[in-house]
Amino acid sequence: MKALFSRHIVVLQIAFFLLMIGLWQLASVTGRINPFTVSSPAVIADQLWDWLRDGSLFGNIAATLKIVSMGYITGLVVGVAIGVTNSLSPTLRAYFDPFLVFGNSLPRIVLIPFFITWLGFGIAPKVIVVFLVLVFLVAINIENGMRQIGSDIVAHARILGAGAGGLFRDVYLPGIGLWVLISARICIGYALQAAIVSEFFGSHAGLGFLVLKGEAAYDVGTIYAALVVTVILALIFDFLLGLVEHRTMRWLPSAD
Amino acid sequence: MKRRFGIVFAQLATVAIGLAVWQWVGSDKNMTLFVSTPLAVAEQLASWAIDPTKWAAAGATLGEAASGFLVGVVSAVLLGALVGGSAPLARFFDPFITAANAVPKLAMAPLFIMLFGIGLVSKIYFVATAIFFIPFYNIFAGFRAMDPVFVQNVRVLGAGWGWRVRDVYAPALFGTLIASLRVTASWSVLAAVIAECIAASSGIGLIISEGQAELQNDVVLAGVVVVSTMVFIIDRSLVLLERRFASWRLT
Repeated sequence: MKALFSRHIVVLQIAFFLLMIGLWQLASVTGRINPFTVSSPAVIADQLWDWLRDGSLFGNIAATLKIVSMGYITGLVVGVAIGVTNSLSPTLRAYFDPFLVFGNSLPRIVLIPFFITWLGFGIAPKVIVVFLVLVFLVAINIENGMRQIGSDIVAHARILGAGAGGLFRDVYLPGIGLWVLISARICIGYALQAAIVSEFFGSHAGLGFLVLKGEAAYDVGTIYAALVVTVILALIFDFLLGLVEHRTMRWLPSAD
Repeated sequence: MKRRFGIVFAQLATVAIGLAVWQWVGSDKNMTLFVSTPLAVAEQLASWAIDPTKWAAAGATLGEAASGFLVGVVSAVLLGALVGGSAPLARFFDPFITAANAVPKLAMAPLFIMLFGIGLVSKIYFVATAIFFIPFYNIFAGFRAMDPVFVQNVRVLGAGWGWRVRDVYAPALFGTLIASLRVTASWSVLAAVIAECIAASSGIGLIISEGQAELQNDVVLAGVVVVSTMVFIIDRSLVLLERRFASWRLT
C-alpha cells in the first residue's frame, strides 16, 4: 500500500486537482454555488483564451514584467552593493544599519500613492516601489551572509597566500553568490506582488490593471483569469531560480 | 566610544540634512504639490492627533489587522499541524502548497472586495488569507524538521497524543511560530491598509487613497507615517515577547 502510494503520488495529485476543478465546474453549472461570485473554470479558461487570441495577454504580461524586471534588477544590484560595502567596513556598517532596519520595517508598498501623486501614472513610481521593497531586504540578507563567512576560512586562505583579490575571488564571491541567489529567489515573489499592487493605484496596462478591470466590471472571472496568469508566472520564476540555485550550489557540502 | 559617538552624530546629521533638503525642495511652489514638505506632514499629523475620527480610522485598521491575524494564525496552526504532522499528507499536498504559496496574496485584494464587500468581514478574510502561509509554512516545516528521536523517546515512555503535543510538539513549534509572528503581524497591518486603499468605508488606507485622489501628498505621507508607527510598535512588542519566550532555549 505504501509503495503503491509513493509510486503513484503524482497520478493521485493530478487526479485530485482535476476532481477539484470538475467539482467547481459542476457546482457552478448546477447553481449549487453562485457563479457570479465564484465564477467557473470554463469561464476562466474562456477569458484566458480570449486574451490569448486578441494578443492582449502578452501586452499586459510584458507591461508588468517591465516593472518587475527593472525594479528587481536595480533592487538586487544596489542591495548587494550596499550589503557588501557595509560588511567591508565596521564603521560604514554601524552608520548604515539603523537606516537599513528602519527602511526594512517601513511598509513600503503603502508609499505607492505618494510616488504616483508625485511622478504620475507611468512606469517610474511603480519601479521605484518595487526597488524599495527589495533593496533593504537584499542588503540585510547579504550583510548577514557576509558575516557568516567564517573568519577561519579567511585566515586559512590568507595563510595559503591569498591577497585581497584572491580572498575576494575564492572566499567572498562564492559566499556572497549563495546569498544573492537565496535573496533573488525570495525577492521575485515580492517584486511581482509589489508591481501588481502598484498597478492597482493607477495604470493602463498590466496584470494588476486586468484585476482592477475585472473588479470595476463586476466580472469575477476576469479577476480569477488574471490571478491564474500571475500564479503561473510566479511558479515559472520560482522554478527557474530554483534550478539556477540548484545547479550553481552543487558544491555545497550540506545541500540536501 | 569616541567613534561610536561620531557615528551617531553622522546619522543624526544625515537625517537632519535629508529633512532640510526635503523642506527646501518642497517649499518651491512647483514642487509642493508633488513631494509636500516635512513641516506640512507634521502639521497634518498634529491636526490628526486631536481629531477623534482619525483615531477611529486607526482603530478600524488595527481591528481589521488584528482579527485577520487571529483568524489566519489559528487556522494556519491547525492546518499546518494536520498536514505537516502526517508524512503522506505532507507529500501529497506539497505541490499544492507550493502553488498556493506562489499566489501574490496582496494582488487578491480586489477579489475579496468583490466577494465580501468593502466592510470589516471582507478585510478580515483578506488579511487572514494574505498572512496564512507564513505561520502555516513555519508549522509545516517545523513538523518536518523535528527530530523523530524525541517522538520515539516519549513514545517509549508511554506517551499518548496529549503527552506528545504537550511535551514535544508544542515546545518545538512554539519557538518557530513566535519567530514568524513578527513578519505575520506587520503583513497583517499592510494587507489591511492595502485593502482599504482599494475600497473601504473607514480606516487609514481610506484616508491615504482619498489623499491620493485629492492630490494631497501631505495627507498620504501622514497616513504612511501612522501605518509605519503602528507596524513599528507592534514589531517592538513582539520582539519583547519573543525574548521572553525564547529565554529558556539553549541557543
